[in-house]
Amino acid sequence: MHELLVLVLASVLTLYLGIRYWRALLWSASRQRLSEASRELGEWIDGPHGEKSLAVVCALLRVCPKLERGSDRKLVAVSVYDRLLGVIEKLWPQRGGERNPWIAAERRACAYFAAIMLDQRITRTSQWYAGQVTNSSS
Amino acid sequence: MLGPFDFVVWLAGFLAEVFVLAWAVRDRTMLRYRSLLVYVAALAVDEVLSFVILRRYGFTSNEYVYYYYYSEAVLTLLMFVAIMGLCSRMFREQQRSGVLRVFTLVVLAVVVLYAAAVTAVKHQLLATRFAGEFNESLYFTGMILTYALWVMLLRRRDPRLRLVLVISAFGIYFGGQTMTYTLRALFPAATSLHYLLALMGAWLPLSLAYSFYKVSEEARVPLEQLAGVW
Repeated sequence: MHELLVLVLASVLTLYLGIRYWRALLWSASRQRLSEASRELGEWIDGPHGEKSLAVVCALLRVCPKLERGSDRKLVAVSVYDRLLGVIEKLWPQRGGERNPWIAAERRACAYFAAIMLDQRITRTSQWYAGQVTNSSS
Repeated sequence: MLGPFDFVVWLAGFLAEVFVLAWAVRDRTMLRYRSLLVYVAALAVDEVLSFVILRRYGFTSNEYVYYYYYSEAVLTLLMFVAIMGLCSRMFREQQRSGVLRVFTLVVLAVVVLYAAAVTAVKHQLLATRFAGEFNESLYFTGMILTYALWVMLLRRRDPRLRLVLVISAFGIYFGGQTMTYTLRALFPAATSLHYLLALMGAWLPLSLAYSFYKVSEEARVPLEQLAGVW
């Protein structure tokens, strides 16, 4: 019985701190400023239906040339979190059809995170392209 | 017997510890976390020593089992000292009242002294079932203390992000270890639990490496961003 109580308490506290850790990470990653190229996207995410914009940002990421190897593990994790939030929102809808402000803010942070990845990819691709043009002209 | 998974996780943890120490040489702001750096250095030394003992005597040898539990107890003591360092730093920053400050530090000091005394007096029992129970109690105490530290941190409107990440990482580590030890006590035959133990061992150095490398000392996180759930 004692062991079971300890297990339950440890599980609850670990989950609680795990959520806080994840939120702090997500917040710190989504605080970077976007460059001119994707600033409009950032404004759109901050707009009235910005919480549903992750899918669009992911679609843009797919069409943007990717120079680095490997999979987008961070993006996969954020997408899973966004979907989880979407499911929670559907399961427990707010009264009067209003959106849950916390879920909306979290989903916006997810979209913003993806926008930063897109921004970095555009910057890297532009730099690479500029390098190619300089090499061919010299 | 240790498999490739254990070695990969072990190596990842060791490299993260070395990285944290190397980064401390470059980033002078990390010297504010002196006690934490001492703990990370002890972890790195322990990884090397345990690897040497493992290679020389084997995984099932008495030497390795004895070393494992003894070093685990000493490292947990050092971890409590690191938490004391974090605590006193937070109190200094928040300019807390002297009574609360002394009370918290005394509680931590009692835990450290108790654990040190048990380790010294009952060291011959540290390779037995007692070691598991002793470590479980220490981890449980650590978990409660870290949670209390977290609550104190939340009383500040804009806590430092690095401190938030470090304290949460410690809390998750203590909680995870408590869960693993309790599950081992409940299901002694479950061999797969050692994967969880290995992962928890690598979690702390990896999360510390991330916090020190990616997050600047000045970064702050608004309270509502952290406390908006449940």
